[in-house]
Amino acid sequence: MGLRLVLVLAASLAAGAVQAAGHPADNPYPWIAAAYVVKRDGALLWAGEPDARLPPASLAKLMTALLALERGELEAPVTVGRSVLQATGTRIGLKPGEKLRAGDLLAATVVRSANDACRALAEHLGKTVAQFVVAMNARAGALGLANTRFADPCGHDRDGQYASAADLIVLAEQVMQHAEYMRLARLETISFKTQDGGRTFALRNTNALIGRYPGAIGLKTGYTDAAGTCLVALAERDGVRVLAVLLNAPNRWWNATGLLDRAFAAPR
Amino acid sequence: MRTSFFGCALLALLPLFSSHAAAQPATGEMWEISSQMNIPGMPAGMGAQTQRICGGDDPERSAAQNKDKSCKVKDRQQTANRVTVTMVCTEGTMTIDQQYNAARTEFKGTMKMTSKDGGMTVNMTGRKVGACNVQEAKREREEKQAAMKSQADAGMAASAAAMKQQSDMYIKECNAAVEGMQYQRLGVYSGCYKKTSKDCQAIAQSLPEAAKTCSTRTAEFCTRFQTQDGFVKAKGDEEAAKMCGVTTAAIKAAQCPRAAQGGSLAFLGAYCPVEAKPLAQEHCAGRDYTSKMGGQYATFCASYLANADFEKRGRPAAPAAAGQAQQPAPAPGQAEQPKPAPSQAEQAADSVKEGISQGLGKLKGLFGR
Repeated sequence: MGLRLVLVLAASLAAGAVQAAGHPADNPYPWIAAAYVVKRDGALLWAGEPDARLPPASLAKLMTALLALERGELEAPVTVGRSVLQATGTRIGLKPGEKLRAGDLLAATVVRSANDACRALAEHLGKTVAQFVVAMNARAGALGLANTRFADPCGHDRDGQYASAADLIVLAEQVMQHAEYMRLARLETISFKTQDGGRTFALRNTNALIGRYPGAIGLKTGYTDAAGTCLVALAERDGVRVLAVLLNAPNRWWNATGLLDRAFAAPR
Repeated sequence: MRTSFFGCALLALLPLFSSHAAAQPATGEMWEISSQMNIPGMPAGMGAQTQRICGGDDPERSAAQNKDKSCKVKDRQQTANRVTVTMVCTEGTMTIDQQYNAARTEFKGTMKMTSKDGGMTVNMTGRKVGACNVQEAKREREEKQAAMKSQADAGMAASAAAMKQQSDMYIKECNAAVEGMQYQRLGVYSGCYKKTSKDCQAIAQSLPEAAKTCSTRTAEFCTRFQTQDGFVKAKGDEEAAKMCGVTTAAIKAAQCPRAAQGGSLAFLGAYCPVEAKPLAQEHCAGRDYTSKMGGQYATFCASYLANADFEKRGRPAAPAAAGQAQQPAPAPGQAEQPKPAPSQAEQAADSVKEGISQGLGKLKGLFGR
C-alpha cells in the first residue's frame, strides 16, 4: 500500500513534467509521430500526446543502460549465458561461454542496440531477465514514470509493456547524467574484443544522425513492428542542447532533422 | 565629477579663516579639518576624512588665482566670527558657511554644493594646530594636484581604451552576424534596431561608434535576410524576422516562385514544398537519410526531405489520439499499433517520401533497431 502511494505521488509529479508552469506545450507538428516531446536546454518546447502509452521498442534499453551505469563495475567480466541464443532482431552474434567486459556489453547495447548483448547484460545485472525487469520497473517508479512499464529489458514487444514520450524524456535526462553513456552514444563506430582476445566486434551506430546531423550526440534508436520507428535524439550547437523523443515516427530521420533544426531556431 | 568639485571647494575654503596671515604670505596657519560628505541617496557620513591644510590667502585672490578660472566669488558676508561665501563654479554653485570661536582657533561649518549631477553637503570642523609655510604648502598641494590629475588622466585613458575595446568587440560581432547571418550575434543592437526607447538611446550613447556601425550592419542583415541565400543561411530565424519587421511567411511567399524559376535550390528545398515537389519527384526519389548524396541536387534533396513535412502550408493537424493518455496500455504489438500521421494527398510525406518509406520498410525487417 505504501509503495503504491509512493508510486501514485511519483506519477503525479511525472504528469507535471511535460508542462511548463502549468501551460500545456505547443503541439505544432502532430503529424510527425504518434507521440513526441522536444526540450531545449531542459525547457519544454513542444509536445504531442506526451502521456500516451506506447510500445517503446529499444528505447527500453535506456533503462537497462541506466541500471548498468548506476551499478558501475563496467570492468567486471561477464560470461555470456545460453539464453543469448534466444535473442532476436539486431544481434552481434555472441556465443554462450564467451567472456566480455560489462562495459563492452553496454557499448553494444547503446551503440548497436544489440539484443544479445542487452540480454547478457540484463542477466549479469539481475541474475535473471525476470528479476532485472523488476529492477527496471522499480527504477521507473522511483523516477516517477507513471506511464511506463517494462516487460523486457531490450524492448521486444510484450504484453503490458509501454512508455510515454514524456517518461522517456525523463529517463533520457537521467541517462545523460552519465558521462560513459554520452561518450558511447556519440560514437559512429565501436570495436571491442572478447576477454580472451579471440573475437573482435566492430559495430556501427544505429543512430543515423551521428556523423550526419551537425551537433548530434545521441541518444537511442528503436524499432519493433508494434512500436514503429522510434528515436531519442540529442544534439548540441553553440552550447544549446535539444533533446527530442519521437515514438512511432515513420520518417524519423528526416523529421528529426527538421524538428531539431526548428528547435534550435525557435524563438527564445 | 563630484570629487573634483569637492577638491576645488576644499581649496577655496582654506583662506576663509587665515586672513591674519595675508600680510605675510610665507607664513600660514596649519589647520586640521575633519569633513563628512552627505549625498542624497548615498549612505550618510560617506567619505569622512581628516586632513591638515595650510591656509594663507583671501578667497577673492584665491578665486582669481584659480588656474582654470572655474569658480568666481558671487557674494561674501563676514562678521567677527562668521564668514559666508557663495561661489559660482562651472560645475555648480557652492555656499560656504563657517563660524569661529572667539580666539579664531576652531571653527565649524558647512559647504553646500549644487550641480547638474545633484546636491552635496559637507560638514566640517577645524582647529588650528600651528603655523605653516604657505608657499611650501602650495607647492606640495600643486604637486598632489598634478599627481591626482595624472592619475585621473591615466584612469580616463584606461577607461577610454576599455570602451574602445568593447566597442570594437561589438562591431566585430555585428560584422560576424551579417557574414554568418547569425541574428543572435547582433546582441543588444538587435533589440534596438529602429527603436527609440530610452534604453536604446542610452545604449546608443554609451558606445556611439558601435551603435552606428551595428545599426548599419543590422540593416544589411535585414536586407539579406529577405533574399533566398540570406534566409537559408539564417535558417529562417523567426526572431530575426521579427527584428526586421517582416514575417517568414511573407518572405517565403515572395521568394518561393523565384526559387522555382532557377533560384536557390537550398531555399526551394527547405521552404517551398509545393514549388519544390516536381523537382523532388525527379531528383530525390530513392534517396534515404543514410545515402551518400552527391551532385547538384544533394543539398536540395536533403533540405526538401528534412523540411517538407514542416513546411506544408494550410495543412490540417493530425487528429489527436484523444484520451489516449488516460487509457490503459494498448494491447502489445499488433492490433492497436499506434498509427502514424493520417495520410492525405497533400500531406508532408508526399509521393517521393512515401516511396522512400515503403522501400525502407521492406528493408527494415530487422527487429529491435
